[in-house]
Amino acid sequence: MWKIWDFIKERRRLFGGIVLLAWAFSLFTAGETPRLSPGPLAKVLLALVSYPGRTITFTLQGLAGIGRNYFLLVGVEAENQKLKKNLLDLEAARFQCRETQSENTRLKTLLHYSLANTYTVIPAQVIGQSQNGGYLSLTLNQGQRAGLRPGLPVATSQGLVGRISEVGFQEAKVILLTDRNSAVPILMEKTRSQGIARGTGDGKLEIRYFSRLEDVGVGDLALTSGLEGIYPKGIRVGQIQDVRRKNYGLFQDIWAEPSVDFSRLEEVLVIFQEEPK
Amino acid sequence: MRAILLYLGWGWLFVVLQVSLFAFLPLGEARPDLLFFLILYLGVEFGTLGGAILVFFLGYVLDLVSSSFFGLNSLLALLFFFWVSWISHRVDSRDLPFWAVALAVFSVVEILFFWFWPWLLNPGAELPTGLFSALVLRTVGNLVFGLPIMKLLYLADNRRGKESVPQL
Repeated sequence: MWKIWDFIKERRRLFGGIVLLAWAFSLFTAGETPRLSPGPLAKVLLALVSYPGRTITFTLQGLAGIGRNYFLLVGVEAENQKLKKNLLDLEAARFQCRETQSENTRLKTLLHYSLANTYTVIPAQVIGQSQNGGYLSLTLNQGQRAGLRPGLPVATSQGLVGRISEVGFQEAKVILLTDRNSAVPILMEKTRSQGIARGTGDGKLEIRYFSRLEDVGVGDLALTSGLEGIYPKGIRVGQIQDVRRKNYGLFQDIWAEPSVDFSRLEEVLVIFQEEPK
Repeated sequence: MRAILLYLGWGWLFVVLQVSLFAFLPLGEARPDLLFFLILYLGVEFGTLGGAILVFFLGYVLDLVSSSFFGLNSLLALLFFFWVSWISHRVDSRDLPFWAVALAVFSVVEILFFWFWPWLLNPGAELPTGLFSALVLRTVGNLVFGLPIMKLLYLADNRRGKESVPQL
């Protein structure tokens, strides 16, 4: 008996290993049973591992959640900025579209006007307006390159605007009809009587040289007479606003309102009575 | 006794990390078997019956918290421990190449077992696909994480002055 015990003791590693392996193998072959009904030791071991494990997992999940939300918010912020920029671009495009539509309508009206007249015209855009005392002028975006030169009349579909006074390479200055230096030969549409419309510098026209005997009334239309060869005949100049007949003198005192609203000018036509060079 | 408590502490830490941190990381098949790094270390340094009991206990704990087949980790841990312990007397086992070979062998055996054991139980079942990628990934994962951890275990032992597991 003692011999057997000594034999085992001498080979305790071997026998211990065999016992452990057998135990492990029996656990393995026993299947799921021990897990379903863990004993007190297994419960303690499970608690020792699972509590800290759960803490680490929850912490990691929380950190990952914060990270995900942060990156999500960063994405939302970037998307928001992008959408705002898109909105601004669309607003700008919409505005541009509306402007183009409006310009198209105005140009169509101008074209119709130019066809009604038999003159060669060049459309130009108003790029500047200045008022210095009673001296009013516009700046156009066309100049020598388009064949413009001083003296050419400028009009819109509403009526006469003025004439070109100075020409640059790509711009031209226009003296308005209402400028103090402006004088336009006119005739009354109704009576065909002739006179001169001078600018007063305050947005009105003074009609001169109308005989006291002429029948001129408020509302009558004044057109260019075509004399002096500067302005083509028949362009509307203004509408009579005030007529004063004195008991003395040769002429009446007449004031007119220009046909063109100079404050809303955007496009005009430069009129050539011959082909532009 | 202090040594047993120390390695139980290491084992507890590795098991906790394996079922929490490394289960959380998206490593897939490359998820390392942390506890088996400690078993490799124990096999090299303390190939005794005391070491085997410790290894069996740690394998059992791992079985309790995570195992597809209960008892598998206890069995694999013991087999791995005895194999390392046996071979470490015949080659230079305190060096990186040995650890690398041992970890690679363990990875292959573990994956092959997980792949074929269900099929052995139920021969009519179809074998899952992706065996090769699983082998490669698990081996790489174990090598990438295992070698630094082995180094860390040796460094920790050198700092405190080694004390062996009680000889039975």
